[in-house]
Amino acid sequence: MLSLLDRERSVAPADYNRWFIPPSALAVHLSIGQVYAFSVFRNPLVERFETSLTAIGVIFSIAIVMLGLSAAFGGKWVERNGPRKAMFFSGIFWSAGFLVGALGVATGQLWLLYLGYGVLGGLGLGIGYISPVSTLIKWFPDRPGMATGIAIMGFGGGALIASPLTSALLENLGETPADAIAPTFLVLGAGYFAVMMMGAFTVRVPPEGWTPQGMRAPRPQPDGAPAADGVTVETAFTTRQFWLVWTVLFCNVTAGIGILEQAAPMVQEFFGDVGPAEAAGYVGFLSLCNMLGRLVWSSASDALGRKRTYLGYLGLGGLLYLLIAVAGTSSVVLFVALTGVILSFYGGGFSTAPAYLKDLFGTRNVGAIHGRLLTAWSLAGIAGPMIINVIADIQLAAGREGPALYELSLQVMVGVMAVGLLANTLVRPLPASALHKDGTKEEVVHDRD
Amino acid sequence: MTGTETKIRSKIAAVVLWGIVLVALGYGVVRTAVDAAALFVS
Repeated sequence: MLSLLDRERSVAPADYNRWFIPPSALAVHLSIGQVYAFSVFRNPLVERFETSLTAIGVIFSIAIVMLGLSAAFGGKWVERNGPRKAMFFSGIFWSAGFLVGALGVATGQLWLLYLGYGVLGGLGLGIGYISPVSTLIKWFPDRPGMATGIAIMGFGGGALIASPLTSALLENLGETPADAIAPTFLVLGAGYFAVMMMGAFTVRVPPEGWTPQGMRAPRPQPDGAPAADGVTVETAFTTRQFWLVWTVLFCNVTAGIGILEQAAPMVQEFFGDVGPAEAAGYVGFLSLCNMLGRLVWSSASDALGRKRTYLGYLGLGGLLYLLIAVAGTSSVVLFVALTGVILSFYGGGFSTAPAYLKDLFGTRNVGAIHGRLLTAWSLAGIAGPMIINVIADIQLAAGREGPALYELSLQVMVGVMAVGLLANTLVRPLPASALHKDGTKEEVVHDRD
Repeated sequence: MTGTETKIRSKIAAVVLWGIVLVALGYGVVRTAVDAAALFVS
């Protein structure tokens, strides 16, 4: 039965329409993107377990840590076994996380939620996130930015679907939202399992040596020649290029996630007449910008080149942070527009990264290398909110209020973006010697199944 | 099952999946946009 999942069984015929591949990737990313809507469960879970927000917040934190770890260490397995097996196990882990979590809720055992949604679900998240990346790049070698943009847009879009859906289920499946958590987990687990299995069994890998019609040779990027075949993840991990791109992603995410996490209180502090309801609408608007940025900017990077695109995210993004710090209070519309563009750059930074890695390290092991790169996301997820929160607490203790709580944070973020900009400027194509170092080419060939 | 049948089945599955993901994404985008717009208008 498991042989059905082997890479050899998922090779497409040469005339297969490559536009049949993105929905498989989207099915997985839209499902695992639910994690961004976990906050909908927070208050009902606090009520159900009669515990603190912190104890419930640990569930999400475990899931994100497991995402980073499984993406970093599972990447080679994903590359070796192909997208179908990876998506299959991602679906198993993700839905098992909901089932074990439901058992925990039903029996009042919080540790089962840590184990279920946190550990098992987190494994599904990490494997699922990287599973379609290299396959999409291989199907769309002429437009890798657009291809990964479609999939990674799904991760942003997953929360937009899960948030209203979960609210509706919590309202309708029990007398109170706290009573409805377990059945909601069961419904979501079953639904996501079905969708992810559809994705797993429709994904196909291109036959060896396949290129799209009309594409004669790999299009060189404006900012450097692409690595022809691909280096191993170990080789990539030891290069300066990997750590420069890691720094670029870390800085872009640190700045963006800081805004995203504090969006609701920040807009209310900047504008006294904005209430909690308007702030919630504003957070929804930012999520839309985040999602659209993932598709639009990553697609644009195919024409602009990856380095120039990140120059925009970090250079223009830094200027926008500065503008908010000095003129953000002048108009709600200006504030909303500026933060919306920043969040679109934040999303674009995620989806452009795999194509940047493909340009530098080749296609062969890009999924595994991307997995390692995602450790930047995990660390930035801690650093960004911490910068904003610590500075806001210090300002509050100093008796300041309103926009003054955030002005220094915004200036710090300008500095963070400048560091990222510098790192991006230093990125150069991998020298040919690195591609052939210690028989790397041969190793890569052996890495095939 | 012949190769042609397999090909047709996989094409149908892919088209159905396109439909599912687009409807789901549309639901999420429209719900969020409507909520955001309504809140800003109020």
